[in-house]
Amino acid sequence: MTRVAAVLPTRRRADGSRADPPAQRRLGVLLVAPTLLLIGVYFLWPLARAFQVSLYEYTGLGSPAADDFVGLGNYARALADPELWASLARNLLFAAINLAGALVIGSVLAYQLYRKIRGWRFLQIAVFIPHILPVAVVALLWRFIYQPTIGLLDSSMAALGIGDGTTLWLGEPALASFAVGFVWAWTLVPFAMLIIFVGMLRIPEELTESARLEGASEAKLLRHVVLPVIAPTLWLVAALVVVASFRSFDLVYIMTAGGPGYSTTTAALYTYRQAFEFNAYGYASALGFVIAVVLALILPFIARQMRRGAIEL
Amino acid sequence: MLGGAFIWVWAFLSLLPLLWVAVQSLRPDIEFLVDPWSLPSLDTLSVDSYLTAFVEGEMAAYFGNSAVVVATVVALVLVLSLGAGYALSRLSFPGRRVTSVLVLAVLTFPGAILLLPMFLVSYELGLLNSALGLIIPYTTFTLPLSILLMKSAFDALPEDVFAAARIDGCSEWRVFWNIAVPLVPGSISMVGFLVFMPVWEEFLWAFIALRDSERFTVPIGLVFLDDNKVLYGYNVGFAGMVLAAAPVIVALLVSQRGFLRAVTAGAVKG
Repeated sequence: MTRVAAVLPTRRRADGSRADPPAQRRLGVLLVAPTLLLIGVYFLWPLARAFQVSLYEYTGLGSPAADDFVGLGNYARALADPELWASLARNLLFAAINLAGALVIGSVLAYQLYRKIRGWRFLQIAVFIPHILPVAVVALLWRFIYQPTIGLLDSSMAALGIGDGTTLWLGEPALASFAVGFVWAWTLVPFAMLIIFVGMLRIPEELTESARLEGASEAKLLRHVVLPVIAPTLWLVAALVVVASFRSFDLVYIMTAGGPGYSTTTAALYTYRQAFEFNAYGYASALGFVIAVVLALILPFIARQMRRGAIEL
Repeated sequence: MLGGAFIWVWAFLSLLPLLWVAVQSLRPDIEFLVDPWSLPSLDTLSVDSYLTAFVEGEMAAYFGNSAVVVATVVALVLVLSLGAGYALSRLSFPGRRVTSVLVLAVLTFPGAILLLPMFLVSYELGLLNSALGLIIPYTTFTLPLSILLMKSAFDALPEDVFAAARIDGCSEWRVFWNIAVPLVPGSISMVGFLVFMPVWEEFLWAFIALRDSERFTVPIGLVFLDDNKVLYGYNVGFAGMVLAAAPVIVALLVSQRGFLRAVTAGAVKG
């Protein structure tokens, strides 16, 4: 992938000192051996096992039985499963909500920090809190806020005379994904703010100074000085937010378990539910590989943008 | 300016849920059920909910379990990533390229999809429902980013240091452990942060791998506590949330710069 360059061996020692290559070789092997062992046991072996299991109509633990062999049947079923594509579409919806929040709100907040608005140090920490809270805490906080009748949102709205205070924020399919999406964005905004803020620190001061001296409006300054400098950073943030929106589902799982029905079930959560709700281990494994391939098709594009931003930072 | 007002509103929105819950955790449930925005009165404030959460709600045990898991993983990742990062940066040895490729593969693979396969392997290894069954996978999946960060720290060191040490007759091990490692303290604390945060909050794998409540880590224990609010009351669940959030908030307040720098570096490298 694009990051290969970052981790590929550094050029060999060119200093001509008489290092002892056999001793280096021994130490090198010794130092990476535990890492390779761990990757073997908890990455390669699970992948191999999942591939084996994906060829069977497999529902239990232990070795799959020979007459449950279905070949690529699970893969054919996955590709024709409308719920898989619907769940990927839900990932896209979450990605869109998170992107809007991270880029728009994140930029506005970052610019306030960059302007060193009064109290910016406090604000930076205060706004950052949602990003570092354990995801279980975030999910439970908002599950309570969204609770009908006694939850903070419903009871406050009722007190203000808006609505009757019985909205099922997480119980209505149409509302649930936006309610969860808002919380997800709430945790990503601080992260975006921080990265964009760091990006803004590279704006040359002379440039903003002279723009101000020439009487450029705030809007012009933003458009012609700030935006060009932070554009690569915005791409980086966008890439990271999209990747995050496809990768994790713990927040969604604790808030709604993917419900009501399948209305908040994302792709990775769909494989999880197939595996642990229906014990369809074989089918879930095939789904996992299909999703990994789909992501592998999307991610190189995203990674390219990511690298563009990372180089500049 | 509009943006200036907006950041204060957003900061308020960021702090409000946790603050509200923190205040509420000290009051009887009936008070917020009557009026969620009523102010606390001194006569009814009490820390009983925290005692209940700790003792009957078993939060004390969950904290102990999490502490063991987090401390072990952080220590293991630090040692292993220093070693592997150094080897990839400074040594030539067979398997170097394979190691690089595998590290990147783990880093880029969507981990959530691995939950089921990892469950199958853990079952075969007899590691389900045990602390070790958390420690090994957590170490495996926090290692790649840590190795990348350590490698770039070692890459940045001047070659002369190593050449001089070798000319002085240092063994390869001593060049690594006594010369190179003490030169990257910043990266050591950064990797410490970047491992502590995700491991402390990890929910899904622990939820799948653990069965007995006496082995629960804080995140699952917390959800369990909240599910039992009929038994303990809302304020005990609220107390649990405050307790689970406390370590990361303390870490943020104590080391703001280190924390923010770690998040930035993690984002750019990861």
